Amino acid sequence: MEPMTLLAIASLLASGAGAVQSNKAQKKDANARSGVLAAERVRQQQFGDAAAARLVDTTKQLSPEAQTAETNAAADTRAIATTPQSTGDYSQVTSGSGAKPIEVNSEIARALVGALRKGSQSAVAQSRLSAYGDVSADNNIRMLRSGSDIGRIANASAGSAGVVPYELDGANMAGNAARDRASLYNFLGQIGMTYAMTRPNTAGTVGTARPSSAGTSNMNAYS
Amino acid sequence: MCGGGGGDGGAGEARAAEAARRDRITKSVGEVNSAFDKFNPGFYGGISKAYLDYYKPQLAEQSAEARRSLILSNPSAGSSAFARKTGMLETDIARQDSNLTGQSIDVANTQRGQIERARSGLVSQAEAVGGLEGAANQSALAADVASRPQQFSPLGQLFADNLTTYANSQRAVQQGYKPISFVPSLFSNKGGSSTTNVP
Repeated sequence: MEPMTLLAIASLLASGAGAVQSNKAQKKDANARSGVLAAERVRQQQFGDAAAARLVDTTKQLSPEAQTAETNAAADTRAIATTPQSTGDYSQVTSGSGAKPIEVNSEIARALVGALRKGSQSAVAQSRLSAYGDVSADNNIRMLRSGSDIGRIANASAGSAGVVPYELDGANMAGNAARDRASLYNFLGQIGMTYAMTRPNTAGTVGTARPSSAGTSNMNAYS
Repeated sequence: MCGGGGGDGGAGEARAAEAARRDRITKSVGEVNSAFDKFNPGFYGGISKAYLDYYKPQLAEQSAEARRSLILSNPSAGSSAFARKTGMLETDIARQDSNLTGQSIDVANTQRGQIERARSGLVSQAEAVGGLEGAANQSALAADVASRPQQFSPLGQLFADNLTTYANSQRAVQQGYKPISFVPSLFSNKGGSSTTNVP
């Protein structure tokens, strides 16, 4: 086989290899991009799950059942703390030399018991009323913390997503080695093909761009 | 023809920087939370106790004074009006006592809300700037400021109303006006026709 023919075949093969390498580079880029996106999807899923779990936790605490139980407990705690335990001492007027009549003393005793009862009823009623405020204060803190936690997760999520464009740029460089080889092969193939096509060809089989002496004689032979 | 495909355009560096940012935030938030750890139920219980330590003696003083005034303003033994007035005063004292205890819890709740807002503000700052430099110091400072108790004012006159009417009636009697008695709540009126019923 003529050297020029071999060169042409080699050039074609090199160009073919270049195309293969180019394809390989593109696949590598695409795989790397998919990897970046898949990894980010997993991260975002984790962020989403964490935020949802935090929200569910808060929502559970704010459920009507939980709130009722909490309000009752707060009311009980307050009632225990605020219920009056005793009244004043009126022995000065109910006994001794200046004592009032026994009926009046009995009335004073009943009045004191009544005062304690009214005070207790008032304490219990007020405790029930104030318990809503206690639970509301707890809820405010609960929601503040939940919002803060979810905000922090959202912050991390945005931060992670912000890196993705850089990673995609990086992924587009994954096939660089193959791309470099493709460029080399293509270059070699191009050079070889150009050389084969432009070099005077004694056999006349390849390279007809420029008439050569052999080509001329061949042409003459046909004429 | 250059390079070798080994570069990532700084993506690894960006991811590492993001991880470092999150670590800084986590560390700062941890420092903030540590500084605010002291604000536990014991701390808020202490606020309630301080409130009661301040106000209960004042209430006790005023209660004692009101009882004393009631007794002194009622020289006429045998009046069931005194028993009724005693009941009213003691009910008032019991309610004021409950009020004070309830308010001591409210004050602690208010302080808790303020402290929580201070904590939350620092956490937000840490997140906004990607971790606070010296978060521990800032938090300690904020925690100290937040933990300062609010100023309490002395109690006003709580039982003036209970005594004024009765004392006025006694003064009127002393000055020669017809004595006034209240309709006994538990006893039937056995008195003469000179009494005036005041509902």
